[in-house]
Amino acid sequence: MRERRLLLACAGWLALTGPLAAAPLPPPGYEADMSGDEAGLWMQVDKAEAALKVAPNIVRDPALNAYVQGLVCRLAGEYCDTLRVYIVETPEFNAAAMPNGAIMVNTGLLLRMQNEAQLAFVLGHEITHFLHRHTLEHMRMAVHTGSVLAVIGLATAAAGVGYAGSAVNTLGVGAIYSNSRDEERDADANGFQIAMNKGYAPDQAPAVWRFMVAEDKAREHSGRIAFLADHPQSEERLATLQKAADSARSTRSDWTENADLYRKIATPFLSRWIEDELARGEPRESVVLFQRLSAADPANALYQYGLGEAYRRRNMKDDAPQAIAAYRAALACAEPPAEAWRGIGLVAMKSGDRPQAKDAFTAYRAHAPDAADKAMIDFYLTQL
Amino acid sequence: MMRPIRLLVLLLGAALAGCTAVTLVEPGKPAAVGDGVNVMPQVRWNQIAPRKGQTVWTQNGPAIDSVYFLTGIADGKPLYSVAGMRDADVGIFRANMLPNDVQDLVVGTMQKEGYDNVRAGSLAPCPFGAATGFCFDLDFATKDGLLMKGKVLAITRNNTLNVFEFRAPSEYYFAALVPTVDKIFASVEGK
Repeated sequence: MRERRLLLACAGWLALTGPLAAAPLPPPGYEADMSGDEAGLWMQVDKAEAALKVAPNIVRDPALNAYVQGLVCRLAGEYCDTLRVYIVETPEFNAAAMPNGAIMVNTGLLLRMQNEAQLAFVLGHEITHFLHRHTLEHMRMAVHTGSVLAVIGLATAAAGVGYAGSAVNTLGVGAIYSNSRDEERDADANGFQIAMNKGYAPDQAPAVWRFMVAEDKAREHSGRIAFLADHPQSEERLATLQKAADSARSTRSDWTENADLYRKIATPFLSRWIEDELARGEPRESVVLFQRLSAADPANALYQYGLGEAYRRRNMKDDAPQAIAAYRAALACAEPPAEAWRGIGLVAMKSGDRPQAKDAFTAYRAHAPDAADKAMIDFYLTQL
Repeated sequence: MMRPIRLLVLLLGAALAGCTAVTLVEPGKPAAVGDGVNVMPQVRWNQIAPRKGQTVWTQNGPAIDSVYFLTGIADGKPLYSVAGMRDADVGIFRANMLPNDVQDLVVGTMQKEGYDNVRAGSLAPCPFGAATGFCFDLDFATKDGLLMKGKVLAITRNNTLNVFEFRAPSEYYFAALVPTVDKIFASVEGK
C-alpha cells in the first residue's frame, strides 16, 4: 500500500515536471562505443578524469570518500561500480557528473548540507545527469544545430583541466557547456525520485534550493552561484520541488534525514571548510550561510564562529555587535575555537573598546599560546 | 580596397602596440616603486610598464614569479582592479582596517582574481622602512593547478595602504627568489 501511494506521488510529480528523458538508460558498467559519435567526448572526459586523480585539491580522506561514495552507491544501486566520486576542496557550492561516470562534489557543497537527505537529493540530481546521458544529448544537439564552438569548447576545457576546481566549473555545469533547462528539470524530477525511493525526507529537496536562493540573492556581483547558473529559474524550481514534497510527505511516516550521521562525518573537516568559505571574500553570502547553519545547530561552536567572522568581514552598520554576539555564542559551546577570542579582540579594537579588546586578546594568547599570529596579537596588546 | 601587405603591417603595429613594455631595474641603485617609496634591488629585475599605484617586477616572467608594489591605495579603493568585476565587488580598502582585515582583503582579492585555495598565515609585525608594518605568508594555487607561495609586506599610514606582494611557484622558484625579495622588503626607504 505504501509503495502504491509512493508511486502515485511520483506520478503526480512527473505530471508536474514533464516527461523524463526518452533515451534508454545505459547498462551498468557502460562504456562508450569508440566507433560512434560518443568516442571523442569520452576521450576528453577520460583525460579530464585522469587529471582529476592527481589534482592537488582532491580530498583523499578515506572516511569522507567512503561515506560519499557509499551514499552514491546506495542511491544508484546497480550503477554503483560505474560511478566514481571525487571530492574537490573548493568553497563554491557545486557538483557535477561527467558522462563517463565521474562525479565531482565540492567541499563548499558539503559545508552547506545539514543532513544526509539534502546531500542525497543533490547526488540524485547528478546521478540522473549521468543516467540520462545529458552531456551526450547536449553535444548531439549542439552538433545538429551547428553549435560547433560549444563542442570544441567542451573538448578544450576537458583537455586543459589541471585543477579540480576548474573541472567542476567548466565540465559539469559551467558556462562553456551547460545542461539545458529541460535537462535540469529532468535531473530534478528523477533525482528527487531516486532519493525519495530510498526514504530520504522529501522536504529536504526544496530546503536545499531555498537556502541556495537566499545565498544567491545576497551575492554582491552579478555572477550566479555555479550550481544555479544553468538551472531553471530558482523560484520555479523551488515551487516545483515544494509541490512534489507536499504530495510525497504523507506517503510514509518513516522518512529519514540522517542529520546526526552527516554531522559526525563532516565535523573533522568543518574548520577547514569554514576558513575556505570565509576566504572567498563574499561575506554577505557567508553571513546568510552561517545564520542558517548556526540557527539549525546552535550548539556548534564552529558555525557560530563562522557567523562572527562573516559579520566582522562584512563590516556593515551594526555588524560589530552581531559579530561579538556570535563569537560569544561560539565560546559558550563545547570545544570553542580559540580564534573566537581573537575575533572579539579585533572587533572591540576597531570599535574603540580597549578593555574588551585587551581581555579578548589576552584570552586568545592564553588559549592558543603557539598561534601563528601570536606576534601580531602581542603587538596589538602594546597598542591598547 | 586596402592592399594585403598594408593590412598586415597595420595589424602587426596594432599587435605590437598592445605588447607590455619591459624595462630593466639595475641592482645597487634605489628604485622608486610609488608613493614616495624606494627599494634597493640586489639583482637585476625586469619591470613591467608601471601604472599609477602598481609596479611589477619579475625575474622569469609574470606568469612565473612577480613582485607587486601596490602603493597609495586610498580609502574606498581596491588593491587592484579585476577584469569583469566592479571595484566594490573585488573588495575595498578601508582606512580603519587592522592588519588582519588587510590580510583578509588580500586573500579575497586573489580569490576573485582567479586563484584557488588561497590561505594566509603567520601574520606578524614587520619593519617597513623606519616604520612598523606587517607581513604574512600565502599559499595558493593557479587555475591550472600550479601550487604557489607568496609573501606580503604592507603598511597603513596617513589613511593609505601600501602592499608589496611576492608570488612564485612553491616548487623551486619561491625558495630560489625569496632571499633576494627579503632584501628588497628590508631595503624600503622614504615617506
